[in-house]
Amino acid sequence: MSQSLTPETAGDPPQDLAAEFVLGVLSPQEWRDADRRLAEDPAFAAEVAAWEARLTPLIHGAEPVTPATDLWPRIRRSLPANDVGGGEGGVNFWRSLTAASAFIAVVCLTLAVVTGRPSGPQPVARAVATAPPAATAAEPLQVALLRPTHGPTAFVATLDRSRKLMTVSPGAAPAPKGRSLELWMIPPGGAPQPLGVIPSDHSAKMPMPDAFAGRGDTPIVLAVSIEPKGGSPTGLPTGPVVATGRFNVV
Amino acid sequence: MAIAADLERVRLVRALQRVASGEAAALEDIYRRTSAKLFGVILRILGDRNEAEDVLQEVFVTVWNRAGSYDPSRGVSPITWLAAVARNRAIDRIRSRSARPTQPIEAAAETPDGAAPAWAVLEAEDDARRLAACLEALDEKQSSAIRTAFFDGVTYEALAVRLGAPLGTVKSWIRRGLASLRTCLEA
Repeated sequence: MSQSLTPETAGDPPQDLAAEFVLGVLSPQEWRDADRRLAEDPAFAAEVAAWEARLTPLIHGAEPVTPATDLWPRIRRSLPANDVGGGEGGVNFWRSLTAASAFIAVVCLTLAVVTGRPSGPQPVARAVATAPPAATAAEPLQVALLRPTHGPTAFVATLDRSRKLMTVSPGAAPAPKGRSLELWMIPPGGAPQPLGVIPSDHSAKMPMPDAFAGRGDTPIVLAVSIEPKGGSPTGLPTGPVVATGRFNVV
Repeated sequence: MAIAADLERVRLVRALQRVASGEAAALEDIYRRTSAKLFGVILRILGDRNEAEDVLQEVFVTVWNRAGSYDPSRGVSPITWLAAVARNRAIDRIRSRSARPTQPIEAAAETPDGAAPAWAVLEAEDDARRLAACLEALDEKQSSAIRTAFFDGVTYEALAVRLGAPLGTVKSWIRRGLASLRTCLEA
């Protein structure tokens, strides 16, 4: 239903998409379209940058609040600092896909993306967090939060395309005694593929799976399951899935 | 007082540069100096402590990975840069939970942290005061719609429900308000 022809709005200024994007009032679809346009339209990106600069000072109106004292240790543990090997395992297929898909459908998927330095003429804080700049030398670094259906982020995965590396770092990760955590990737409509056993107390670095190499739409889900020590003996998830998430598409 | 704010700004810029070169201790320093401020921004937007802590974690992982992209020569202060990252992350989170009802603003009204560094306020003063003056000059409905939209990360439609006004009217308030704001800030 369009409201644009009501007499009340007749004298309004024309829509300022960049301003509305920064303010956050666009519908999810409009927002995604604008987000995409940032990468392709430098003039629009500059407009967004200018609105960032105008509106960002509003932030200082929020009262400071101290977060929980255990948050810093949690963050510290989740930093990709300690490297270990990973990425073992051949390619097998999960037969009970229906059950898997049903599970994936109900878990909370959290998307996040980080990109490099903005290229607009103004300081663009937003571009650091979400907007792919029009022309940047650095490859975007993407982030996925892997979470259980309810509860805090269990793992943070980062994808460094320029170095072809994926890092998985524990946040509030479960530490199953005598069992292992195994990482899987599940392509849309496809079967889970093992990416190796990951530690619950420090980061794991692994070669970026080829499936992530494309720049197009690759809504691959990452999942972590609890498996017998050393990983699933079958090459398919056998235990409960404790966290899922995915990288969003730039 | 201005000197204290300048000093804090320089410290924060240096800490970001040290983070960019991989110094975890510098990230902890930034956390100690800014987490209450950033958490306040995120909590104001999300209204849920657990979720806000998740997002704050995400913000610091972002800072750890991307501190090098902060460029002080662009004229944006480090705390504003960090706070903008925090707001954007929080709004991304809102977008990802769009099926769930948003919390009323009151849910975010936690006790302010009395020990918050005054410098953050001082440093923000210039920009914030100018913006506040321009918002003051707007029609009250326009400025309050803009503030609510900014902090609640809500779409026009949700905003119309929240403000109890027709969608067209809310769009009109926001569009007129933004246009006037631009003129005022550029004056």
